[in-house]
Amino acid sequence: MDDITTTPVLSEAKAKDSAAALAAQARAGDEGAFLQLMGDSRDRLLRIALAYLRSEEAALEAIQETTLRAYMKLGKLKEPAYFQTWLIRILMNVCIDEQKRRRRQRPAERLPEAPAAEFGMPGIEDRLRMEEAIAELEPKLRQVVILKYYDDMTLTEIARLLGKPEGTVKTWLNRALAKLRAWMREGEARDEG
Amino acid sequence: MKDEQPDFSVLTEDRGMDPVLAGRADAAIRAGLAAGKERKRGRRRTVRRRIYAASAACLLLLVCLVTIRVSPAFASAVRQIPGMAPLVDAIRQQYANDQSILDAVDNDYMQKVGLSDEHGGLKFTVEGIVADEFRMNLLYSIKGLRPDEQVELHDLSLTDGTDRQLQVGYGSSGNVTGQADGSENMENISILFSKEEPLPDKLGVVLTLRGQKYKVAFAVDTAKFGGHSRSVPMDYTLEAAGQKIIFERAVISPLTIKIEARFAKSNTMKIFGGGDMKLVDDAGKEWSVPSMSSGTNDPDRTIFTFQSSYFRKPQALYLTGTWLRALDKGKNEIVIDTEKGLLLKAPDDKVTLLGSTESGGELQLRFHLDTGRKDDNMSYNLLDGTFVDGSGSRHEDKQLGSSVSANSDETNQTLAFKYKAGAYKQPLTFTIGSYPNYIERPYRIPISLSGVWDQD
Repeated sequence: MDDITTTPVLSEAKAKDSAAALAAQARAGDEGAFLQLMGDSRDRLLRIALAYLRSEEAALEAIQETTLRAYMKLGKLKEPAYFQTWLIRILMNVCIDEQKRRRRQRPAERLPEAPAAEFGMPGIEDRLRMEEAIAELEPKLRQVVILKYYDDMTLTEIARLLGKPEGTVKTWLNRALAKLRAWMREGEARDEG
Repeated sequence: MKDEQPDFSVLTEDRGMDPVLAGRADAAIRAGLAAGKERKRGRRRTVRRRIYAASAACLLLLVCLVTIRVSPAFASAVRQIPGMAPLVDAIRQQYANDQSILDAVDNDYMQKVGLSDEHGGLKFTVEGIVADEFRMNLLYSIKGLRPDEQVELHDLSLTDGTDRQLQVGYGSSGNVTGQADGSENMENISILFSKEEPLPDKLGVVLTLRGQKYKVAFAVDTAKFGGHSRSVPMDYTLEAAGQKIIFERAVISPLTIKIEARFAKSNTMKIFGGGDMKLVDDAGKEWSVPSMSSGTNDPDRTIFTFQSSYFRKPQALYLTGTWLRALDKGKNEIVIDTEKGLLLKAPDDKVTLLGSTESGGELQLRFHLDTGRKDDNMSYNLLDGTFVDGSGSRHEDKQLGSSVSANSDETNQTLAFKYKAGAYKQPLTFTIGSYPNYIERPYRIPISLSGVWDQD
C-alpha cells in the first residue's frame, strides 16, 4: 500500500494555522486554549488508546494521564504547529508504560478468547482476530500499525512522530504486515482444520 | 482476506464515537488538567503542608504525600445546579487525588458555605465542605492578594463557633502566593475528628493574614454528613517475618474506610504501617490512603485508613500490598543529648540530627531522614511525642508540634519537632513513632460487603 500525500486544501491549511496559534497560546499559559486543543484531539486520542489498550477504562485513564503529562510539558513544546503529533507521541508513551505495568502485574496473563460469532455481527470475528494479532506484535511494530490503520497517518507523519527515518518506519510496517499475514493464515488454517 | 494485504478496513468500520464514551473522555481530560495543575502547585511549594496535632487529643497523624492517579470523572449532575459549578470545579481541582471526595461531589454530598471575612481589601471565604464522621475537607479562598505577594497563614485554629478550640488534627498550606492574574487563591484544610472530638454542629475558622485576624463561623450540616458509617467484621491473621497482624473490623463511611487490627503480643517488631497497603474493590479499582489520617495511641492496636468506595457500593474489597513498615522493638528509640546537639543512638544511619536549638521557651529538634525508597511517600512521624530524660523521668505532654517538609519526588525529608524547653537531665530517649524500615510480604485479604448496602 502506497502513501498518498495530499496537498492540503485551503480550509485545512487554515485549520492548521489556527491550531498552531492555539497551541502557542496554550504554551504561554492559556488554559482555555489548552482545553480546546485537547477537546479537538479527543476522538483521535480515544481511537488510538482503545486500539492500543483494548479496554475503555484503560483508554480513559491513558487520556487523563496524557492530558496531565501534556500540561506539565507544555513549556517544552517546540513547534506549536505540530501539537497533535507531540500529543500523540505522549499518548503512545503513556500506552507503552501502561502496557509494561500491566505485564508486570499479571505476567501470566493471556488474552481472553474472542467471543467470536456470538454477537452475530458480520466482520466481528475478523476484527477480533485482527486485533488480537496486532496485540501480539512487538511494541514498535504495533505503534506503526495502529497509527497507520486506526489513525490514517501517513508514513511521513509516523516517522516524525516517532522521531525515526521514514525508511525505518516503512521497514517496520512491512515486517508488521508480514507477521500479521502469517498469523492470520495460521488462524484460518486452524479454523478450517 | 487478500493474500498480499490483511484487510484493515474491518478495524475502522464503526468509527462513530459513542457519545457516553466521548463524554467520559472529556471528563478524563478535565481531570488530567486538574491533576496537572495540582502537581504544578505542589512543585512550586517546598513546604507542602503544615500539620498541626492537637496535644490534648494526642492524635497520631499519618501524612501521605503520594499523588495517586485519578480515574476519569463522571459528568457531575451536581455541577448543573445553578451556582454550584464553581464550587464543584474548585473541589475537583483541590481534591483531584482523592476519589472519595470526587465521588461525594458527584453524589451531591457536600455543603456550600460561602461566608467571608474581609479587611483592607483582602477577603477570606469558606467556600464549602465535604465531611463524614472521621474527616472534613474544607475549601477556602483568599482574594485580593497582589500578584506574587506571599502571605503566611498564621495562627490557624478551629473552634466550635465560640472560643473553644477544637482538639483535632489538621493540615493546611503554610502560605499562599498571589496569582499573576490577580485571581483568587483556592486552598484547603483537612481536619480529622476523633471519638473525643467528633464532627461539630458549628465550626469556626480563625487565622491571621497580613497581621490581621480573620474569622468565619458556620453551621455544619450534620444531618447530611453524620450517621452513614457501617461496620463489617473481619477475622484474618497476616503473618510477615514472624510478626502477626490480626484484622478485626472494617468501618465504611462516605469518605473513609478504616480497618482495625491488633498486633500479636508475641511480635518482636513494632509494626508502623502498611507501606503500599491499599484497598481494591470488586471492579478492580484501587483505593489508596487519604492525604492525612489519624492512628491510635494503643501500642497493641492499629487502624489502617483508606479513601472510601462508599458511593460505588462494591460487593467485596481486597486489602492488598507487598511491603510493611516495621522495626525491631529493641531498636525503637532515638537518644539525643539536646544540649550538645548529639545524636547518640538511632536504628541506623537513615536519620541524622540537623540541629537542636532552644529559643523562646521551645526546644526544636530538626532531622534529616532518607528512606532510600522511592515508592515510600509517607511523611515520617519520627518521634511519637514521649521521651524519658537522663534521670528516668517520663515526659508525655512536652511535644508542642511537628512539621514535615518533603518533596514527593525525592526519598529524603526534613522533620522538625518542638518541645517545651526545660532543664531536662541529659540525654533524652525518644520513642520512635514511625521509621523507614521494611518487611517484604505480598498479601491479599478479602472483605465481603454483601448485605452491607441493604441498610439503605
